[in-house]
Amino acid sequence: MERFSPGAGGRDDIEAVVEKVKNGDRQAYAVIIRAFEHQIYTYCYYILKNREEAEDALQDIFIKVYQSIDKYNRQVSFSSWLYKVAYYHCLDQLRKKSRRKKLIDDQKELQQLDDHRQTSSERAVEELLMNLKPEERNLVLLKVVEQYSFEEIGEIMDCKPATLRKKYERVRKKLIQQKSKEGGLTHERMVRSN
Amino acid sequence: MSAWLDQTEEEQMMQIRRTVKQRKMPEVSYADRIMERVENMDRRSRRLSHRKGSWAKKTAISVSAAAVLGGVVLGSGFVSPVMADALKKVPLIGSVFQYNLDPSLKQASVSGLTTAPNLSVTRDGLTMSIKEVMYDGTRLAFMIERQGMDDDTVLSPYLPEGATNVSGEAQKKVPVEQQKKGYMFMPEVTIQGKTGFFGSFTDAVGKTEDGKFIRNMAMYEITSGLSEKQLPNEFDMTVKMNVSGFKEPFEFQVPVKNLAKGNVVLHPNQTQSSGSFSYTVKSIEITPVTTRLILDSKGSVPSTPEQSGEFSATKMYYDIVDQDGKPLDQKMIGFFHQNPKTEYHEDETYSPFAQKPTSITIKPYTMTVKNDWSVVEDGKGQPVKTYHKDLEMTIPVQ
Repeated sequence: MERFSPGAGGRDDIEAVVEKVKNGDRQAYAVIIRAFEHQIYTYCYYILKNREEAEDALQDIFIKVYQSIDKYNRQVSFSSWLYKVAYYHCLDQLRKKSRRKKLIDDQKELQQLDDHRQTSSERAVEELLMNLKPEERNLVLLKVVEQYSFEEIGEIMDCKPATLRKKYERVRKKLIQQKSKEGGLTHERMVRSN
Repeated sequence: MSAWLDQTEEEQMMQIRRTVKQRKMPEVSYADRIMERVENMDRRSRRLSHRKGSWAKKTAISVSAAAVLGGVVLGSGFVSPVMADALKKVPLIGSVFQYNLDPSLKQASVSGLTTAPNLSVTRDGLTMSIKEVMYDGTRLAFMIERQGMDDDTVLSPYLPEGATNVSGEAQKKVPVEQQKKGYMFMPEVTIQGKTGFFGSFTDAVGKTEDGKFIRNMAMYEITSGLSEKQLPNEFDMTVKMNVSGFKEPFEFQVPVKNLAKGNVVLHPNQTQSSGSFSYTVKSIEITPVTTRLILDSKGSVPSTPEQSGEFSATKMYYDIVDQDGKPLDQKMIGFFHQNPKTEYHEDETYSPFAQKPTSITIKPYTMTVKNDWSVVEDGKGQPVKTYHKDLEMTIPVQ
């Protein structure tokens, strides 16, 4: 079951819809929202670590994008542009959050993240992700989950692709280290059987 | 060996991707909500064309004079408790709000604050009628009745245009020709050229005297955002409702009248604070049908020593009492399974005052929740309220 995700082929369809919106077809924007809302929700959720905040951010981001849609000129893909707004919006939210009392909030948030329907390996992955710093998590979300190229991520984050490659290498190593610490025994067994 | 390590990493990345993508959104879609906001935003660009009215289309439009129900419109619209009781016992012919689950709509109908526009549109043996309208300046509600078929289902189970499921897939729509006729989609309301109101549509519209649920009827209500539009006391509203099995919507030109006299709108802009928490009351609307409180709050909720450890305080809620301390009922109280935020914009409706008060007092309170977000209750099963006297605010009503 293919989810409508803008990739090769889908990309042009999205650009066509964006043109319609720019030309005054307000209702066409609903198509854009439906195409991207799930991705943007999960992105915000993993950055902000909070369901309600992710919901609010999702809506604010789409409103911001709509308000500035006249400025979109196809110099980057529409989805990069959308993620750029999402990235900066979440950064803003994180900054505002850090001014509040963090201790109790973190505890309650981690409790909220415990979704009983998840498998243990899914929970392990979530813990892995949530233990990263927001900047690192952001990179993982864009590179590993949404599979953007470093050039595209560079456009989203206003950063040189080369710098991002280095940062990503560091995050990768961090992830492997953490994973192998947990899967340590299994790995040893495999080595011996070789 | 290195191939194994690579595979582990590849697998690991795929697992991360899978886990993240599997996370579902709390709602099916936010598109409607966002589009409502989009439509409400101030437009500066003249490139955006307004939707043309559908008068040119071949739809049957019914226009007719409105009749005032009940005939008992007292001077100020406020009814004395004794009178209210007496009126409740008189069944009104033609009134459907009098059976409503919402006691203030019942009251409105009984005290003559609603109108019965007598508008019907019939197509293919199916008649849709707008039976009764209530407008008090801050809330607008109307009832739509279906005749020509008897079915338990009133609201359309079919998906409207552009629906998608959780993963963003466009849902397969049943084509109009194949749909069963007669199920209502959420109406689209236009007032003075404006659309995009925060509306609710329900088929739970009340019980008749013999305790049976009312059938073949639905109620549409605009619950907020009306008073700031500063509409006149009389205006026309266009209601366009799509019905399953029909290509063209059923359309009504509905005359709306605010019969509630003695309405008061206050803008106190008064602030009360305690510690780091403060709230500012932006407006209070008092009508014979509704009391509305709009305020903004900032800061963390104050908590008592009892609200610690495995207990914690909820967000702030607000009770309203009159000069004699008599409280109103809040129409709906939301419970949130999360820590309170530090900024709120509250727009809450309460039951009406029986008489116009000379002053009102706002009494903020929190409730207490346990670690699993369940609310702590007293012996009678009522949530325990922790009032904050130092945050009370009294506002005179001219």
